[in-house]
Amino acid sequence: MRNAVITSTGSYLPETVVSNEDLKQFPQEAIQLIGEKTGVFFRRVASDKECTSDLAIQAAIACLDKIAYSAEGVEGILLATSSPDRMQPATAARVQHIIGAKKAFAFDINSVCSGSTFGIAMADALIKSGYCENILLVASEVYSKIMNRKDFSSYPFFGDGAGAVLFQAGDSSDVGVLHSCLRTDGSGSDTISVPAGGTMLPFGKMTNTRSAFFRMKGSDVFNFAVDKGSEIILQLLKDADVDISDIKCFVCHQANANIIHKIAGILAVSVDRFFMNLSSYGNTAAASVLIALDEAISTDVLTRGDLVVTVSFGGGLSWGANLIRV
Amino acid sequence: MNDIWQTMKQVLLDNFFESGDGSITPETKLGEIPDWDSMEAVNLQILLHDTFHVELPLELLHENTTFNDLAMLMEQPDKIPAAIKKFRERN
Repeated sequence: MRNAVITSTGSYLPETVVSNEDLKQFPQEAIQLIGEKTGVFFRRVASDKECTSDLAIQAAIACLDKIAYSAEGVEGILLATSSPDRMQPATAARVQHIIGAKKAFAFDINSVCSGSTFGIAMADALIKSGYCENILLVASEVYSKIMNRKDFSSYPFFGDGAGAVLFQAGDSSDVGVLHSCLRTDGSGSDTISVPAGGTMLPFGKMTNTRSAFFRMKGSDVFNFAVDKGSEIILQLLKDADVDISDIKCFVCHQANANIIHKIAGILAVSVDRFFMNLSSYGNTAAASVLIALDEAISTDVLTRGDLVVTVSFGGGLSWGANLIRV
Repeated sequence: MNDIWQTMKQVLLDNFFESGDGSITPETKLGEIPDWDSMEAVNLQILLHDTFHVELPLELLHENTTFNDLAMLMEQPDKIPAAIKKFRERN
């Protein structure tokens, strides 16, 4: 059976490191709350000149260079982002042009923080169907430019970054993306949003500038993430008839260390089996799973033949998981 | 006091309540702000500082604090130490 196999990964984090203590816009007595509430202590922030596609391009190049794969051979580019360069065209189009993937079609996926797991499922479907021999999946976010830097409910928790995975067609039924579960509940579409700038609330009709910025209902998101994150992992493993003890590593959306600890607790799995880098990078939204996957593979936390579950949850509300043998 | 309340009301409506959800009074408690939590308390602390130039400690921004309590402290910041003492004795 034809499968989408991971043949390379890459990531890019902007150079500027911002610690919690560097966030001078917040009262000093509030700074320790950031670490306590989320486990985030540092984040990377894009420069004034960097936009989402710039980060995506660096991650894509890192991914292709790792195996000396020519961009000219890439057939399709999927870019998961919820902080695009512009309302239109797709951010993926600039990535396609700059990396020189002349043959590739390119488009964006916006499933907010679930973008990576949705993207993995789409890449797998395009390859399984026979439509493509390969897909370069990139996830890139620059939330520092869509947030109100004085909003304590969001700004300290996020960071900028990008990750990339090259999927190629393989013919072994037991290697690559083995199964995916994707879910959406649009009744929660106001829970995480950037209210203005679209057709529902054009900038010209905006009466309050805060509508132009990212916002989320923190406690609702926390409960949703814990419930759905654990639920979909169990569903994924049940569908695939795989025992949880066979999973080497869980690469979870790096939203909040407390969410990951809760999910591990519900699954009765040691939290040590959950890859975590959010203390250094914060929540990089759609990019977090691909950045973490790249780090897990680069550091040999995951090696060839290992089973990994990727899982994410976010705006939409949306949530998803993939079972992959690397 | 009335001026302070009117200014505070506008800040609260602009930053914590959706449009059309404007039925707040001086007796409204912070716990009645939608999605009120310790993060929103920090946001309110910042807004009060930016608007009235008064440093209010987080411990006074608890769910039972009323907007009237805040307006009084914005008008008479010298009473903040006494308010802290009273709060600590009660808790």
